[in-house]
Parts: sequence; C-alpha cells; structure tokens
Amino acid sequence: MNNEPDGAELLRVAQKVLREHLLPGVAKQQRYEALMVANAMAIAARELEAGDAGLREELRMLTELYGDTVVSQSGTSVKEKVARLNKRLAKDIRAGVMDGACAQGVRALLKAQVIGRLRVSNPKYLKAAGIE
Amino acid sequence: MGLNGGSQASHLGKEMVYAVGEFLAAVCDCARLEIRDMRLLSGGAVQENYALDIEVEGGADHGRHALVLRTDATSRVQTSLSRSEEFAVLKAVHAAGVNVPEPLWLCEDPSVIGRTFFVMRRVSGVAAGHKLVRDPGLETARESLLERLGRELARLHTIRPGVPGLDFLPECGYAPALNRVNLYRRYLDLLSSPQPALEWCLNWLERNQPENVDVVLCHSDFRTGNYMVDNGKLTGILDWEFAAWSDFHEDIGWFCARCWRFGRDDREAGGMGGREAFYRGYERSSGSSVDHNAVAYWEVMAAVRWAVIALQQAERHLSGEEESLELALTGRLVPEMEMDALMQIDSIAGRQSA
Repeated sequence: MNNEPDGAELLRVAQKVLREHLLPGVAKQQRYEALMVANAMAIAARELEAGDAGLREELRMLTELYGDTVVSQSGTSVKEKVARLNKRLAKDIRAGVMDGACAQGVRALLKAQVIGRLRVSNPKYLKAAGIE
Repeated sequence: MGLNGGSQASHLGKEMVYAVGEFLAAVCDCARLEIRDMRLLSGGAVQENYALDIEVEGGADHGRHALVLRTDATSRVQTSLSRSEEFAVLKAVHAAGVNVPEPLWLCEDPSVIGRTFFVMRRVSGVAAGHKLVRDPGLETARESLLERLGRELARLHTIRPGVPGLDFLPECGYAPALNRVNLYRRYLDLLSSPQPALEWCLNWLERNQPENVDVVLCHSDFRTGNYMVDNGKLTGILDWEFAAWSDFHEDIGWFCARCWRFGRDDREAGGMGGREAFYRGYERSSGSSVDHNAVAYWEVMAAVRWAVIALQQAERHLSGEEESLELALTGRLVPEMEMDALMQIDSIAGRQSA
C-alpha cells in the first residue's frame, strides 16, 4: 500500500503550520492550549516515525534478562510480550528478587527504557542532560 | 446588621453571593455589610478560590476588605486535607508567625453554599512559577526572596507533633520516608500499567532512608508556584492542603527538585537562584543545619512523587473520568521524572564513593 505522505509526515508538517502560522494569531488565553496541541502532535509524529524499533529493542533487553523460554511463553506479539514482561519485572523488583547478580543488568535495562520513552516524549530533555 | 448582595457580583449565582454575605454579616462585628465583588479565580482543579471584596460599616471590622473564599471544587479528589483541616493548619502556621494569608472564618454549615468553605485575607502579587523565574524585574530581588523563603520555612518547621489543634494529621512516627514509599507503592498498585523504573527507585528510597530524622510540620507542596510575590517581596505562602508531619528535609528537597525549576535548571533553588541563599535563610532562622545528603535523598523522593502524581492524572484521562489534553500530556512527563530520579541516585552514589 502506497499511502504517502505517511501519518508521521502529515503530523510533522501540520504541527509546523500550527506553530509558525497559526500560533502568532491565537488569542493570549488560548495560547497555552494551542501549544499543548502542537506538543501532542509532535510527540505522536515522533512515535509514528520510530515505529516498533523501540519496542523490539526493549524486548531484546528483556529477553537477555529473562531468557528465551520465559519470553516465548509471554504472549504472541512484540507488544504483548513487552507488556507482560514489564509487569513481571515490576513485580520482581518490588519483591526484591532483582537485587543479586542481575542488579546491574536490570539497572541498565530500566535506564534504556526511560531513555527510549524520552526520545519520543521529550528529546530536548536528553540533550539538556547531555545524554544524547 | 444589614446586608447588600451588591450588583457587581451578579455574574455568580446570586443565591451563593447572598448566602456568603449573610454568613459574613453574622460573623463580622458590623452594622451593615456589602459584598462589592465576588469572582472565581483561575487555577485549582481541586479547590475553588473566589476573590471577595466586602465593605463593612460599623463595629471592629469597619472598612473595606479584600478576601479570598476557598472551597472544594464540585469534582474533588479525596487525597488531601479537607477545607476545615486546611483552615486549622493555616491558623496554626499563622499563629507561628509564618507569612500566610490571614485565616479569618470557617463555615462548615452545608446549608450556606452546600460545601464547607473558609475565608482568608487576600494577598497581592504573582504566584505563577513560569512568570516568577523569567521576570527580569526580579533579577536583583531573587536572592533576598530565597533567603526570606528559607526563613519562613524554618519558622513553619518550629511546629512539632503535639501542638494543639492539629490532632487530625496522621502520626508519622520516626520513618516519614518509609511512609511515603509505602503510600506511593499503594498508588502504583491502583494503576493499570506496570512501572518498573519507579519500583526500582522506591526500593532505593526504602534502603537509603536518612537517619536521625527530625519530624516537624511540613507544607509538603512548598515550591515556586505556591507562594505569592509582589514587587520582589514575599506576600504569602499558599496551598496548605498537603500539610503533614515529616522530615523537614522533605520540604527543602521538594523546593529544590529539578521538576520545580520551571525550565531554569541552573537555578537549583526553585528556578529562582542558587541554594546558598535559601539554605542560609533556613539555617540562620532555625539554628539547625541543612543536611545536604538528606536533601539529595528527598529530591529523589520528589521526582518519584511527581511521577506518581503524573501517572494518576493521566489515568483520569485514560479511564474516561475526565477527557483532557493537559492530563493526557502530563502522562508523557513521567519519563523525565524517572530520569531525574535515576540520575539523582547516580549522583548520590558517586558522592558516597568519592
């Protein structure tokens, strides 16, 4: 299916129009709301553009932690697997079972997850913090 | 005793204005009382604040008064103090000499406006954090403002458990940090999505609690945005609904946490300036020294707390309870707070091993 420009591109250019052409004419009381709309569009555009690369990387790290057998038993799609494994990870951390030999690996995984979400939600944060 | 509802207030429910006027005429020492204006102030999804201008004739309260009436919004969340309790806190801190709007009257009779409300004096100025950190007119005032905020906070922290009138505040024992950890874990359990990074931070917070905790009355939302500044001078500390017994470093950590610097990350004290002036004001007034490690610990707690609150707000949108772009976007702030917490933990570990 060739449906171009794709959704990410449409959101990107629509957001640009909103910021550059419409925002200057928006009444002061509505400016905050208009900025929120532009921000939501920018986040959605980045998310679409990234596709499922982030999700696959997350699954790769979770597989490293839990092993192939556990991962293969955790649902069918990448999304479902990641969701289920994250649920288990949260539970395991709370229970204190991730403190031993795997502590460093868990720590690195969590940091990578957070960075992955920041790339979509707020890449400026990563730049300001000197992470990327 | 006479009463005049006033014409300028007609855009609000006439019945409400009349009922408030009647209540005030009864509690004021006066011959006649007129409500000259009453209008809803912006901000506050949980509370409603009305600016109230009255004119009193005769008696001890003779003259014009600029007041604020504070009541619950119709859709209130039961996680903070009730208005009666907040009024009691305001009275206690006012009596201790903290710079707050003077609390005047409490009305718990539901037949008046249908909800409990209290009336306090209106203080002038600006509270909005993004304005205060950017206002070029404050350039020379920020240092002394921070020192003053430190002094006010120290004065608040002279109030200790056992003070009469605050029995409704839950006891916190000797482990306020652990109470917070347990509370945030309970909040996480109510959410639909798992939060492994926050769980990890909560474990760290459980294992690294500060020792020798000094428990005092904390504001628990003491930050830029919750105090009023007029012409470079502090005019009042606002929003006392989260007051609780805790380690005094919790208030200092919340004030300094990155998430409350309104984009001015370089100014570590609330986006207003360096920590030195703030700590100096605090230490000179309290006579006790600020434990920098404890503040660093409570800044991790601050990031986790904000993350949990942001998740709760996003949940309100996701559950269909309240469709809101602002609430939805708040959910996307969570990884910033998680990263703040993780980096803060790293920096504490680095300091310990150095």
